Parts: sequence; C-alpha cells; structure tokens
Amino acid sequence: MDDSGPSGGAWDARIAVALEVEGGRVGHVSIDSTRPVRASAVFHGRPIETALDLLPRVFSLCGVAQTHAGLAACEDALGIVAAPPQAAARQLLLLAETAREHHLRANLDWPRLLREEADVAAIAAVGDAAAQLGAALYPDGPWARPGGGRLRPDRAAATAAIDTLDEALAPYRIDGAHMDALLRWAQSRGTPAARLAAAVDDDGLADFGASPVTALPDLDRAELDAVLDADRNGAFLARPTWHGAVHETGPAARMGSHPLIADTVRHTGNGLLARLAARMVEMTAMPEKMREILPVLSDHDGSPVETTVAGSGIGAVEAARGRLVHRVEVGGGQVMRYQILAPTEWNFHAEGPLARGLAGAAAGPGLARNATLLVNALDPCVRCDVAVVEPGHA
Amino acid sequence: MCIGIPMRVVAPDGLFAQCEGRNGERRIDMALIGPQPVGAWVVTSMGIAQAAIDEDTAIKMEQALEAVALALEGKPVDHLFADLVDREPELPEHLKPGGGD
Repeated sequence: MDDSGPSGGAWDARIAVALEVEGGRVGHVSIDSTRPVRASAVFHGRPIETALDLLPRVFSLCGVAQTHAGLAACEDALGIVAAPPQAAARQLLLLAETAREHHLRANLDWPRLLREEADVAAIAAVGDAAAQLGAALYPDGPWARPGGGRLRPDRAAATAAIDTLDEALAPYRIDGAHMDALLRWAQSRGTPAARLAAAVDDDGLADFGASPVTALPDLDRAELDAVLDADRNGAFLARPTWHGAVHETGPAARMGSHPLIADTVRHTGNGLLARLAARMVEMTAMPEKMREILPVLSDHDGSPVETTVAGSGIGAVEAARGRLVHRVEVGGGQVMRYQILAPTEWNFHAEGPLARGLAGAAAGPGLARNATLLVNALDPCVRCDVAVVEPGHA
Repeated sequence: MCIGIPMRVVAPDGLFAQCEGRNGERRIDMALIGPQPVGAWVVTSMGIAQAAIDEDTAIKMEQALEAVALALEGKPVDHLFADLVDREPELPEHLKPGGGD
C-alpha cells in the first residue's frame, strides 16, 4: 500500500522481509505483514447490495476480481446460480483486469527494475481497452448485482476491445514449447519484459528463488466453508494452509502445466525466469480466452433474487495475483459476516514460496536486489521492503 | 487486498506531486497518469498515482476506508455511508478544501 508514515490504520499496511545471513547464505527469512486481513468486517451488518457497492471502493485496485468474488459468494449464499451469459460477461471483465495487471508489471515495474522509463502510453492503451470492454457489456450501469446486472452485449465493440488488447500484448508473446524459445525471445530484448528475462539469465539468476512449495490445488467448497467458519480470530486468513501444507498461487502456479513453463521449470526450477515467463504466457493467452467466451454472451436482465434466504456462501476467482476467496454469511438480506482470503497471504506466508525460495540464497552485494526481483515476481498487493541482516546485527 | 488511497494534489513537481490524504502528505509518483493540477484527486497505491478520480468518488472511497479503520477498532461506521442511506456525502474534516493546504 501506500506509504511510509507514522500513522496506523487499515490502509497503512506493508510487508517487511528480513533475510538473516549465516555463513555466507540466507538462513532464516522472516516476513512481517501488517495487512488488514479482517478489513472486510466493514461489511458486517450491512445490506448485501451495500456491501457489493462498497467492495470496489475499499479494494479499488483489483476491483473487478474483488467484486466478482464477492458477488459469487453472495449468490452462493442466496442459492442463486448466475446465468451463463452473466457468468461469461463477468469472466471477460476479470480476464481483462488480469491482463491489465500483468501488463502493469511488465510496463511499469520491470522498466523500473531495469532503470528504464515506464511505457505510459502502452499502459493507457490497455486500460482503455479494458474500460471499453466493460462499456460494451453493461452499457446501463452496474454488473455487480445478485442474479446479474442488465447485460446488453455489443459484440462488435467487445471484439474491437479484445483486438486492441491483443495488439498491445503481442510483443510479449513467446512462441514455442521449450525453454530455448524463451531464451531467444529474451535475447531479442524487444520489450522491458524480454530485457529483464535476458538480464536474469545473463546474471545466472534463472533459478533464483526456486522453491518446493506446490501450487494451490482446487479447494473443496464445503471444506473451505467449514475452515473459514471456524476461523474466529482470523488466524487462517493471515497464515493459510491446506491440509497442513503451504501453497503458492498466481500465474506461475496456474501456468505450471503449460509446455513452455513446464520445460523451463524442468531446466531451472520455478525461479525468476520461469515466473517471469509464466506471467507473460498467461497474459498473452488472455485475448484468445476472451474470444472463446464471446459466443456465450446474450441479452440478459439478471435472474430473480430472493434475498431473505439465510446461509453461507463462497466465491473464488483467479485474480491476477492468485486465488481470491470471499466468504459471506447472510440473513434477512444483510451480511452477518464477511471474510476475504487473499493470494498475498499464501505467497508471503512465513513458510511460503518467498520464504522458501530465499532460504539458502548466497549472500553478497546482489542479494537485496535479487530478493526484490522475487518479491516482484510473486507480486504482493502492498508495499514490500527487503532488508538483509548480517551476522551480529540480528 | 488491493486497497487504494484517495489523495489530493497539493504541489505538482514534474512527474511527481506532493499529495495529501488520510496518512498526511506524501510525494507521489505521477508517471502513470501524467501531471495533475493542484486540487485534483488521484487514487494511489504503493506511492504511485493509479488513476485520476472526481471528488465525489474520492469522498466515497475515503469514507469507505475510514469505515474499514473504525470497523477494525470495533467502532460504529453508519455515519460514513451517507450516500447509501439517502444522505448527502460529506468530506471528512481533515480533507475539506483548505483544511490542510
């Protein structure tokens, strides 16, 4: 999040990573997070519609994913199944947001890591395309209504928005199923992403940060509902595990079976190079995934909703940073309890992929920078500072 | 949880700007959205202005964040949802124009 300042409060969250050096290597990795995992308490006691209106105001930076997960949780609790055209439209908005977020990493963060200028025009073009898509689906206003908003898809406009997105993302496409193709793309140095990949490879960092932490599996709905229900003090939300194991979520976890990523992981593990490539592979696949969804769209006014139902619901979406889960308990049209399990809590878990990936890394002048590259690859949604603690200073 | 902070531009400075928001004044990177005039509202995250927004949106976002902070402390928040219960939204005291300039 924002900043460096003395004030406390829900918004002033950050993650502090300390690498304790022992015998020339990173020993213990400590990760302190002040992220407000219980911020969603703000929705308790509010009408369902109010909570859905508030979601994108509070969580404004990945507002589509947050709203989508919240909507899905509320519908699950109310016993509503979104009609296929509504589900398709929401998925299109989510994919566009994910492409935009990945593109921001590649055009804002990565140039800066290379000491280059951010490509602001390219960022604006992708943002505009995502906004055009929204207008092409729900021209009359909100889509985040239980049962769905007033969907009036303009197929031509949606197709044009996807084409614009595709054009903007084309330079990041890596053609091929083997790591050789990735290295050729990197050495072309045609984009900041390629130049960062080339720098990582040239500096011998392709395998930096590889970890044995496995991808977050599908979570059984009933079991997850029970685990979250029992989490009265927020301990699970802050340090989640599944069947006793810590997991990774996000593009590298999702793209693990893609041939190019699988081959890269075979050669270099799931280190910096494979993670960077996974983000690009996922991003450049978005336009085609979006085109495949288009035929499902049709005019739809939303399903009728009986909001007096009582119960609990789970909504899970794959956001840019990883699996985002919302859980809601409703009764009498009101939210009784609201929980959010966010991807950052998996990836920045004390025994998660960042901590395990950094343990054992060679100490030296490049350590803090290399660790920062791994932090960026795992993409926390708040500011994350890395400090190297030398012996005697712990 | 990607919480953005609404802030108001106090003093533009090239691709940066001094901005004020609920955490006081900060030097904010304006590279993504370009220079903004004094008084303009932006949503910031990790020290970077992510988008320009109008004042009405800024007020609603600010009140939602205030509600989060109060809810975490177990305090009442209903007064912060004026627009959602048919009342006029109002800017919190510390962000009223002229309040902190």
